[in-house]
Amino acid sequence: MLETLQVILLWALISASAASFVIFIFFYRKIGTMPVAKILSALTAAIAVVLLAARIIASGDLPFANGLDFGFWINAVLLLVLLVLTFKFELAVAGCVIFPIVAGLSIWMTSFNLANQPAAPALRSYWLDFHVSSAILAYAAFLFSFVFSLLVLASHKKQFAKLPDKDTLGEWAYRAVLVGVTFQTVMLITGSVWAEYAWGAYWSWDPKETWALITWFIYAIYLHLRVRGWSNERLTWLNIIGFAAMVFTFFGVSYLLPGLHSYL
Amino acid sequence: MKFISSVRLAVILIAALAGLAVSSTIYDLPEMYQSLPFRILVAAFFVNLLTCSVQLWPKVARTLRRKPESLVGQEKGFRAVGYDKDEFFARLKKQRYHWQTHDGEAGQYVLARQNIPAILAPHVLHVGLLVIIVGAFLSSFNVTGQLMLSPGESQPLPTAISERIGEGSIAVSDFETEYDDEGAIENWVTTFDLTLDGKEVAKDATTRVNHPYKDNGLSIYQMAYRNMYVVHIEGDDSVTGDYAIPESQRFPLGDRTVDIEPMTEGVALLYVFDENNKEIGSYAFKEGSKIAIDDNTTISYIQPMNATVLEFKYSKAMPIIFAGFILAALGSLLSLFGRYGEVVGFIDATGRVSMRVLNKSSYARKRQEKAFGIEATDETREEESC
Repeated sequence: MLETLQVILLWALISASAASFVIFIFFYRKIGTMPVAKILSALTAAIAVVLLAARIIASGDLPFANGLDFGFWINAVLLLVLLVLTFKFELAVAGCVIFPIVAGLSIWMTSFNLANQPAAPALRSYWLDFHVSSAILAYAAFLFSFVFSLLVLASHKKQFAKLPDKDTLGEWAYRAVLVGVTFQTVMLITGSVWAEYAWGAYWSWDPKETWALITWFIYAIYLHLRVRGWSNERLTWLNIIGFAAMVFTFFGVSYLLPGLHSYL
Repeated sequence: MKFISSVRLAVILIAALAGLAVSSTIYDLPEMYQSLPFRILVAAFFVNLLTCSVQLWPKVARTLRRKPESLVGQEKGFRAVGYDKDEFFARLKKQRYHWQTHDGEAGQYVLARQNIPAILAPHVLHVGLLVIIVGAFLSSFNVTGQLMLSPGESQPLPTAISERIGEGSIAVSDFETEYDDEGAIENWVTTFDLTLDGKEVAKDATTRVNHPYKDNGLSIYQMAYRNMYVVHIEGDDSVTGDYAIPESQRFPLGDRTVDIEPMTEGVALLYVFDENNKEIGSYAFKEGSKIAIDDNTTISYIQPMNATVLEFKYSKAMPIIFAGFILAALGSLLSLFGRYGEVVGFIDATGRVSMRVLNKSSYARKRQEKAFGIEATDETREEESC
């Protein structure tokens, strides 16, 4: 019953996100002021939250066991933040990036078996909850920083005249990176503590953890170059590299460089 | 010295470390992390961080210790605002500043601070990273070893461990699989006694996945388990005896090899292979089975047996690593407090207010200046030396 509900809601989320993306792209010049932007943002966020709730009920606990569970959480977080941006800051145009990401991630999630699988003994640790939840927050923050950076590049174009000014968008991108680096640090640390208790080695240079560290390095460079006075435009390109590293850490490593985290 | 502690060098070193890490994963070169170039880079990064911290901590301490008395004589650089002191303090409160005042001869001096913990964030994180690097260096002196034991069996500790902490032995009294309410495997638990230098240091101690046994630098981890079959082999004097053969693993018997695969409870499948690894027979293998491997050799089933695989580690570095983790996490979380900012003000005898916003970020400074109703300045960003 709950499994069927999850399948239905997942396809509803795919459909709603894909449709929203098409509408947002079509009306990107004035989407920020259109009521339909608020309706679509609220609708997709509601579906993602109900889907997550269904997953939590089906799991009987907070689900953090694999990439599928990660997908449920990150979709909900991304769409809730988009909702805030749409209602409070009239920045619905961010949906042009968020909706295709949510749709793509959800399509990828359909490749998983939605039935509840018992977790392996090593995954039955409260450190896993901290590790994965901080990863969700870090990834969401980096993703929005990437969106703000793209808007920095777009802000000088006439079509985006209603966007906040470049300095404000650059500041938001910076703050999002700061939040992302904070939670990425917590993610790396809690993962290390967990690995120490589970496998007797806090760091194994496993491809996944190495790439998570590489992502952290890139954003650390971003923060240091900002201290040195780099402009928002130049930092945007670094942010794009950081985003690419983050995506590779999640997908690329899992499929191309499997290691300890291959259960993802 | 300036370059050694500089942000520029930090960026170069972080980029180099990232580049090496990328190449090691792409080209599958795990040995790169033991290489000299990598160690030199980490050492250089450590020196860069250390010199930066040594330079910046006193500055931070001075900033936090600063009193409003230090503003006396500086009020000439402040800019007048068009409201009274009540409004000034109301705006400070609204912007969540904490302030101290000093009554001087010319008037009242105000030193207000915002998001105080945030000023410590990068510096605490840097110290955390330094401690982690020290801990990682000390971790390179860790010793490890592995043992496979069946319940009732006792073995000396792995040689590398004994060399470090003295002669000792471990006796496993029990090895169990725990199941959750839904019948799924929840954990594996080994119960054991530990003896060091003839003295029993642990009685009925346990280790399980995610809950290792830890005592005075020695850790024992539940790493794996093996299912085995106890068999009796009858043949030449050189092979006759009882053996524990791990399941699904080739076991040599003269020119031939055998492999025992689990089938159902109490019944296994015995495969026999010739010297060319060609299967020459398969047999149900259960209680009472006695199977001829060749003309001279037979194998008899006795009983199945579980064995636990334990990982031993001796390390004094873990408390240091964990201290580094705590500092790094704390430093990171402190950055969520926002951005440290200062407002300095002067209220003269007539109640006229003048002030100045101090913030390293020009964006934040302009926003604060706007919040206090003063014209935004385009002061050059104050560069940190590192």
